[in-house]
Amino acid sequence: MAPSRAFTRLAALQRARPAACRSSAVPRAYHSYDHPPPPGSFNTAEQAILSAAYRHVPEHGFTQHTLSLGAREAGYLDISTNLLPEGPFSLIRYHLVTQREALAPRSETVFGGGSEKNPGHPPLQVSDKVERLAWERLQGNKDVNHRWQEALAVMAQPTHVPASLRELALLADEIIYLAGDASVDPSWYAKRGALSTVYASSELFMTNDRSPGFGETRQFLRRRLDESARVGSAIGNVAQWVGFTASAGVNVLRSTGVRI
Amino acid sequence: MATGPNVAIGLTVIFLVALCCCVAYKGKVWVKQFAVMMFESKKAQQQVNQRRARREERELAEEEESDLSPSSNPRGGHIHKLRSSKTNIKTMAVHPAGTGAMRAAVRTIISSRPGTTTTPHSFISRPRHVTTPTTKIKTFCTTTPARAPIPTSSTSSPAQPSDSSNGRTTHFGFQDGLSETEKTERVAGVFHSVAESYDRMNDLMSFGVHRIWKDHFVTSLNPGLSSATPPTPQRILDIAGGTGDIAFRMLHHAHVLNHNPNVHVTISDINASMLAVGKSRSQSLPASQQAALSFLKADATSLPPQIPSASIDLYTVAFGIRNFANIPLALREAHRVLKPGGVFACLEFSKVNNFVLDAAYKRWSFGAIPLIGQLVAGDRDSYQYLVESIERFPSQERFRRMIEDAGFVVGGRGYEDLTGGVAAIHKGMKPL
Repeated sequence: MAPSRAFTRLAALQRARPAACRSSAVPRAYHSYDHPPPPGSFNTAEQAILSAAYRHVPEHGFTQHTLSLGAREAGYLDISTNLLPEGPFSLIRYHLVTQREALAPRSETVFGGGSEKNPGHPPLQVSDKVERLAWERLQGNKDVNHRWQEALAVMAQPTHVPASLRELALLADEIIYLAGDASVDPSWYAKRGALSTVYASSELFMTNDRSPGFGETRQFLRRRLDESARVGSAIGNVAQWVGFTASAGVNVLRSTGVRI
Repeated sequence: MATGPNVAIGLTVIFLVALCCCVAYKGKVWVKQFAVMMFESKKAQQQVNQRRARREERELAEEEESDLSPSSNPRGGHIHKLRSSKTNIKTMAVHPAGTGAMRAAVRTIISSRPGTTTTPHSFISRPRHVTTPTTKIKTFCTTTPARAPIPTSSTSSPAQPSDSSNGRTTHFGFQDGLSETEKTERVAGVFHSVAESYDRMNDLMSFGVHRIWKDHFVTSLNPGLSSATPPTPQRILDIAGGTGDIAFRMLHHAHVLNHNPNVHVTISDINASMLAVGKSRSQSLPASQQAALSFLKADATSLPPQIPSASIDLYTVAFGIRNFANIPLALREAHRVLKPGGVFACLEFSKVNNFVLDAAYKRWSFGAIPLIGQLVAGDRDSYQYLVESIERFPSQERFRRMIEDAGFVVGGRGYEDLTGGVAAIHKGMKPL
């Protein structure tokens, strides 16, 4: 019979799909409990060159020269830097990826024993955690902050814009995930979009910040997050009002006999 | 307001539009007439060829009756098919005299689907006038019948690989089942015949884009860059680089832009004609660059002892690797001569990702490139081979796997598409 055959085929498809997902290892733009991300985005040789080169970044910046120094230090030739397909941008991406991946262990040390050590304190709100994590991530730029404008310029080049935006989205997702936000409604996008904007502008602000310990950057970050929360609640209030008024209007029309 | 220039511009535009209309309306006929003119002089020779082909076909038919031994020259059968094909009947009605030219200009040929015939005998011993389920009509032309060997003592038996040094078989364009030595010979023939007009043809075929690709290839490799002072010397081996396109760019980049005079480039090619072109072109280089250049006639699948193992920093091959008789062997040879940490870089035609672009590209490469080859270089079959070998070359992903299988490490995606995948740059590093 036709229907049963269709069902068998569907079942076969459903059985085949997880295997396909696993084999293709498609990078995900969100956290998946069932499919943890692949271990590293760089292979061993790339890792060796990049980690050696990264030590030279404060001195020589995100340049081909730095990569070449790193390659020589790791025992490779000058020409071996060709292994990295994007040149200096690979070094920037290495910084972004390592800092993002370092956020999870750091959040454990920051929040891990918080509630148990101080039982008197109320547990942190999600918004506070987001602020704290964004600040922790900004502090990751401390060592290369004087070179970060160059890096932003490279990231803004048209060929590198998609990869840079992708990293930004992954970072925003990581922060919100680590802050414990588990909502799956349309605000999923709004939250991540708002946090990305705030983080990017704070990063830009930080490149010109000369205050001790980047205190002004932290103030800036707090102000922007407060503003986005205020804007968010304002939009929510307006939407609620519009929805109520519209449904009330429809009811008024119905009471006068219009068939809606 | 100056009316003079405006009038001139207006007239030019009108003239151009009229010209375009004429070309659109009558262009096909003009091209055909031009082709007939080109081949009027060769007609006598064509007739001799046809006569010979017919005689061979007769012999072949007798041979095939006795046993299913492989035929060596399906040229006769090819003409037979042409007569029966619709396009050709039409064009022959227009120009009954230009049969030879017509055959070259418009061909619709029944041929075997590439890749389905892997055994050496399967294509050749197939009954010629029967359309078996594995055959399909190609709307473009193919070298399969036209490039069949002119019978000589050494190449007349493509289905008998035992006469060559190794028994492995490979392909030549859409033709399967050739021994590797034979492919090497035929490729040599192709490039002997195109060496003179190589540059002009490249410009015409790719609208000059190949220069951009080559510039980008060399810039992205960044030869000669060194963080040490004085700069460390580098040895570059440019395989299949006979005309020096890549090598001269490398020298300029290393010596002038990266200020590293210790970069030495060896141009290697299997083909003496191409090397001769490169040598004559190198005369116009600055003396310091000429001193850092050397030429070597060698087969990339077995490099001579002048190039010892682990001696090369950068191994490049641009638009050459698809002509190699045995690509995996050549890759292993590259792995042997490279130093640990040395880089293998390859610029080669590849598979187009966008299907619209792909359709246009296929139309151009199978329709126009052989015709341009015929009109400009006077050699259709070599350019027919060129486009077919491009079609047969593995996709980006498969070629990357081949590079990895040879022992290289690739970074990131492993390749970079140029112009939507018409060409691609592959890079691999020999691990420490």
